[in-house]
Amino acid sequence: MTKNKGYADLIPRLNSVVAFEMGGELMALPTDVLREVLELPNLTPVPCAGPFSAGLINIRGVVLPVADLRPLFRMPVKENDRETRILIIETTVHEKSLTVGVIAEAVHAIAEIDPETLRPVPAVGTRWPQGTLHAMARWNDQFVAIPDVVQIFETHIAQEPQLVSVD
Amino acid sequence: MMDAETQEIFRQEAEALMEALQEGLLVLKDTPDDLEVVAGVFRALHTIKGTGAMFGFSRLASFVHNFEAAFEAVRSGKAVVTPELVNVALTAYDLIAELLEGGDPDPAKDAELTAALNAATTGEAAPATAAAPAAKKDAAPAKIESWDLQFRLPQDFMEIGGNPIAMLDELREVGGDSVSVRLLTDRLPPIAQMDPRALYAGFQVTLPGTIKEGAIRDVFMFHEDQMELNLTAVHAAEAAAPAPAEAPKAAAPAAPAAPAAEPKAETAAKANKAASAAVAQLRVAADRVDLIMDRVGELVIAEARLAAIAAQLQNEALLGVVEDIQRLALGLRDSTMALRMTPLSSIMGRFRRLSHDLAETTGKTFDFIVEGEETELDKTVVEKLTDPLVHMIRNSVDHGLETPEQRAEAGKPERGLVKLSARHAGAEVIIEIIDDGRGMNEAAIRKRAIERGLMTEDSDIPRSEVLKMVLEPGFSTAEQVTALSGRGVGADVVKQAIESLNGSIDITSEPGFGTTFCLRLPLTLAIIEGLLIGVANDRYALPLLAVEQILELPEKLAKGDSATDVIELNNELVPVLRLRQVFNRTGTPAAHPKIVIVGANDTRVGLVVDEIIGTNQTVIKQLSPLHSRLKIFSGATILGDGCVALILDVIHLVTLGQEIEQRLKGNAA
Repeated sequence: MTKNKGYADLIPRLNSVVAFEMGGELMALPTDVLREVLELPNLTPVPCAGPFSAGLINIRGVVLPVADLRPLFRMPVKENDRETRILIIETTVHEKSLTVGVIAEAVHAIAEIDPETLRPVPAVGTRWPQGTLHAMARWNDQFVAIPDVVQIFETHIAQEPQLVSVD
Repeated sequence: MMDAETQEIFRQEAEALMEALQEGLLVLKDTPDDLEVVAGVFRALHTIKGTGAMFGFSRLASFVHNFEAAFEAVRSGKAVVTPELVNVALTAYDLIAELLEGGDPDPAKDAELTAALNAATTGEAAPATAAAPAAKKDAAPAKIESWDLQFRLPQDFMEIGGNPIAMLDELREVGGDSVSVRLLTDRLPPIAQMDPRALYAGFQVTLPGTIKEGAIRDVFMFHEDQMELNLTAVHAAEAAAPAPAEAPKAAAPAAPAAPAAEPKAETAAKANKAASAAVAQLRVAADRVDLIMDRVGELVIAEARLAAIAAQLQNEALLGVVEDIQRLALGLRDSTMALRMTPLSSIMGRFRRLSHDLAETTGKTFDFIVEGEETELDKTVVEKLTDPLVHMIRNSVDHGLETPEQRAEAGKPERGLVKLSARHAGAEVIIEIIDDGRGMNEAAIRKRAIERGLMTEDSDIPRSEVLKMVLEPGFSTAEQVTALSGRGVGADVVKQAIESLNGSIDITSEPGFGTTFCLRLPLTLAIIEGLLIGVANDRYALPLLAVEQILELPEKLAKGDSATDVIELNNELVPVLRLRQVFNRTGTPAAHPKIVIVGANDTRVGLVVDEIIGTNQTVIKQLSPLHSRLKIFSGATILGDGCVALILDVIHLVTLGQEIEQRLKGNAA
């Protein structure tokens, strides 16, 4: 189990993950941060908000932001279609609770990941910016990336400058 | 000892009593003869004592018992209110407050203060002041008994489609059941000269004093220019005592009781009203009101959706019901908003006390005047305002006002003035803190700002902006800038708090004549009337109250495609923002774009939009932290069809407009 060192927090969470697709890649997100999965609702774009903002949605009277992580992962952005889903994530970012939607190109299943298959993210030769993934793993004979949503929102999305200029 | 929860209930109850107590004591400082106020102080003490004992605050109860005894002496005419008594009583008040907070002050203090109270009241017996209290006005804000409204509409009012009945209905809606209307027929011409279509009658309407002037004037919003309108407040002949049932016999034998000759029904109504002012107060946890507000917001949104569907179906019966629901939802919205509205007077006691303490500590003599404390604001706004106001008042006294000697030297009256004034202006409330002190030294601020790296030696920053530098974090520390009078100590707290309320702050200062801090705050943070506009394929909301004019886009401007431009409007150049370009939207603009002129802070900006969709009830939702740094939007709202629309921030747009203007001026020069 030496190779799984550092994953002590992650392993119990692998019992239940949602497997989804983004930019043609398979990803898995522990369901303890997942509140629900929505079909694509009406998405209101937010002008001037930068590439990570997909827009705003209305869930039962609450306005939630939706993030698009594909530009962050340097993935091509596919047009939204019938398969597109929004993962509603509830987590704590900068000590404040954050509820946010994330665009998924397709959602496959709620699954379990074998901790034995966990691998660290290769330091070079990957598209993943540093710190955005917990690890890689295997599921259904495919590679699956396990994103670290707290890190992503703390260090990448929430930092995005959002100034409007009239020039 | 009781459990913590029961004690908490007591603390909450006591809070209102303590506020009344402090208020009463401060009033007595100025009008020591006012027996009604003495009675009020006595009653507050009595109730604190009684409930305190009941809830197990025995030390507090026994101390208050002695405190009360001192005022019993005053009440019964055995002693008079002296400045010393007020001072001791205020210190005693602090002790009670500390005990209520659960603190454990030195027990010796109890005895010491009791002795001081005794000394202050038994020093010399003075005759009871028999004269009727004169300056009762200070005890309670002058209470408006009723509104007397007379209005005459233009003669052709009905011809052009106006409906005076609808106006009266609206007034009834504003004023409730007690609205009475009388027809003024004095301008009726002889029947032979009468035009059957003309409106000759005027109306005299009496409305209850509880409603606000603005609400009445709103009814005539679009007509006020062409009509005669006289609105006068009828003040109560007597300031209502906090508990009228007890007041006359206990405290003020000379106070005018309701004359027996008065018609019975009216007397009863008056008594009722006074009683309801004093008794029918319900203390509700703030988050419950928030919850109701949320639900009402949802209801308003659902109602808009229903209206949209009904409009599509064109079913008469359904449309009727929708109209009813619409009216109910709006009524519910208004009452809920009213629940959240709190008059500024609820926090004024604190400021009066502060000014009293400041006078003691600084040795400066000044009058602290409050204007418009009946002005109501959303409760969250009021709560968040307290700290900044404390800061500003303290600064005005500490650093703005000169010592009596300096004032005499400068040829000013020795007694300084600090004024806190509040008033409504459109969808905003304006609060000003004015002092007549030495004013701010622009040169010193400039120097300091350069030292601090907030500006450079050669920056061309207008005076108004320079003065605002004192609000920057770390601008000054107390001991370093005596020349500058140390303003700015903690002033960034002020700026932060005001900004978090979507408000703005302006400073004007005349050396030698004083300084004015002007705060502008939104009336509410919950629901506004919005104007829905379309840009590219998206919809956005603008606060309707900020909209001044909507025009067809002039030919000349239609051709341009840069984000900014200017338009001449009533001989004034108004900067223009093309929202399509500002939002980086491509595609063909609408065939007939419109320009919406919005204003804030006395400046205007024109927004080029593709279409005007209409007005709607905009329930403001805060933007998530992910978008909150986008200053151009102040929030989001949910439309009738369930979509989200962003709310444009007018103040920010106007600032952008000003930047454009500056730049254009720069180019021209």
